[in-house]
Parts: sequence; C-alpha cells; structure tokens
Amino acid sequence: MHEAVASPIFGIALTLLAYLLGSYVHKKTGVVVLNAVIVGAATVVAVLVIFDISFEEFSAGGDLFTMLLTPATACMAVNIYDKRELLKKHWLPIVVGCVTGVVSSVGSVWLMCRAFGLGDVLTDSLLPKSVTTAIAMALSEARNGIPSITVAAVTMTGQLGFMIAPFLIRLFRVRNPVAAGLGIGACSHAMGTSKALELGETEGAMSSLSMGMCGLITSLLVLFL
Amino acid sequence: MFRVLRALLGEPGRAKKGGASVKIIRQLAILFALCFVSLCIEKILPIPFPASVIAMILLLVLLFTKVIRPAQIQETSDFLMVILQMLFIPAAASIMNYVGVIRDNFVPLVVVCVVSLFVTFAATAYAVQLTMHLMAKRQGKGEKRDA
Repeated sequence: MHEAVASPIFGIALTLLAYLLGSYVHKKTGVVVLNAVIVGAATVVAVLVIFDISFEEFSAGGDLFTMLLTPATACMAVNIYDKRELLKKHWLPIVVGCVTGVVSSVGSVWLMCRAFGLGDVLTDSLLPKSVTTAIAMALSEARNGIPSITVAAVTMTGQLGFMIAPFLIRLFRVRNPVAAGLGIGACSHAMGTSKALELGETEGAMSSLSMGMCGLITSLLVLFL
Repeated sequence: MFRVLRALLGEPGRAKKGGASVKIIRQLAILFALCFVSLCIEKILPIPFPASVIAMILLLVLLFTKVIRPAQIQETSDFLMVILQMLFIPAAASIMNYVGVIRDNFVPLVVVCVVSLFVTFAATAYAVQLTMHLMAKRQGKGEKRDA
C-alpha cells in the first residue's frame, strides 16, 4: 500500500481531486474564502494527516504541478502582449504607477518586518507578497524564503483585495478608472483583477496589466535588496 | 537549421494533417524549450533571478519582435491560465510543514498583509492620477501655446 502512495501517481491524483472538490465547494457555497486553492490545499493536508502519509511522498506527484508554474508564468507575457494598445496609450501612468506600487509594497513590507522583528527567512517570504502567486513563489525561493508562507500571504492579500477593492476606491476617493484598475492590480494581483473586471472594462484591463508589470518590476527590485 | 525548426514548430494559421493534437505538441515544445533556455540562463546568472520570470521576459521579447505569434501558443497558454489555481495547491499544502512558524508569528503576518495592501493601493492610484493630471496640464499648455 505504502509503495503505491510513494508513486507520483498518488500526488497527481490527489491534487486533481482536491482541486475538483475545491472548485465544487466554491461554486456551491459562493464564499470567497472557500476557493479552489484554500479548500484544495486543506483537502490535501487532511488526507495526508488522516492516512499518515509524509509530505515527501505526496511531493513525488505534487512537484509536477509546481513545475508547470514556469511555463504558466511565461504565458502571462501573452496577456501583456494582448493589451499592447492600452499599454502604448497609457505607458507613462502605467510605468509610474507600477513602480510606485512595487516600491511602496516591498518598502512597507520590509519596514514592518523589521519593526516586528521577523527574521530574514520570514521577511524574504513576505517581500514579494503583493504580486501574482507564481512570481512571488519563485522570488521567495530565489531569496531562500519559505514558498508556502509566501503562497499563504499572497492568497490572504488577494482575498482581502477581492473583498475590499470597491471600499478602497471609495476610501481614497479614486475617481479615475485607470488609476483604480492599476491600484487594484498592484496591491492584490489576480484575485483583485477578477473584482476589477466586475467594476468595469477599463478597471479590469488595467488591473491585469498592472499585475503583470508589477510582477516584472518586483523581480527586478527584489534582486537589489 | 532554422528552416527545420520552422517546419517543426509550424506556421500559424496553416492547417496541417494531424490536426489539433499535433498543434498542442508544437505549442508545448515551444513553451518548454523556452523554459529550458530560461532555466539555463538562471543557472548562469550570478544573481538569484527566477527562471519563470526570465521565461516571461523572453516570451514578451519574442512576441514584440514577432518571432513568435500569439497563435503559436494560444491554446496551451489559455489552458495553463485556466488551471493556474490548481498549480498552487501542492505549494499551499506544504504549509503543513510550517504550522509552528505561522502560529508564532500570526499577528505580524496578518498586519503586514493588511497594511501593505492599503499602502500599495493608495500609492499606486495616487501616482497614476498625479501623472495623468500633470500630463493633461502639460498638454493643455501646449495647445494654448499652439493657438
């Protein structure tokens, strides 16, 4: 029995089933926090704990999914390329906004980590937390952070952004849809972008552009820290 | 050599025998070759820069220089975007190895995430509005001067 579990087939099957369960629960309940990633990961953990299976055994198959993040991240280039007309039209506000967003995100995280006395490992895990999960994970790993803590922080940030994006727009009185979209994408990546798409076409397109641009800029900035 | 590669990877928009499945194999070949080149670059670079971001930059350059057209990777790219959420599940599940770290630092972790969300949104939105405002002002001045 344990030999079967050690095969990559186990990890692949478990991840696929956990994802399906997660999407089903999300669709049925409609609760934002109960999304495919959170429910899926919880399912995996529950199965491993209940059946006393080590994480290494699961990883034999699970790592396959993590590996696919490299081509998936590359494909975000297609998304930026598709919006090249918008990028050309608003290039200056986009570049200024994204650079400001990245600097304020990385800067505020760094300052708070120092203030709370969090160690280097946790700081490195949190620095890229405003960008899309795939890039954040890669950056965290490159700096010897803990990728899973990065995923947790990125997910929490994204969920919160999804829930409070309209409130943020009202709180800071942002009337310009370009500014609102870029702001949402910069602070809460893909989850925020899905909310921005509900708010309007410009907001959605800008948020998705901002998500890609901020990912790129963050990778460059984090290098020099 | 180039011609062989072209023939292998196929011209977009030209339907060939073998149909959809061969097309997907071509798209996968393009993407994984790109990722492998990026991985090699990652190993050569003296700084820790992730291969996935190198691959994204390379693809962006290849798209803008029209070496690769979006149609050459479209279906695979769309598929990867649709299943992206699923790809995070094993990484997210590995948090079970760090329960202690998270329990000990729970409050700081939450505070960092929440506060930086507000700061980042406000800074980005205001920077964009200010830039657009200054651009509009400058353009207004320019037009006045022209008149």
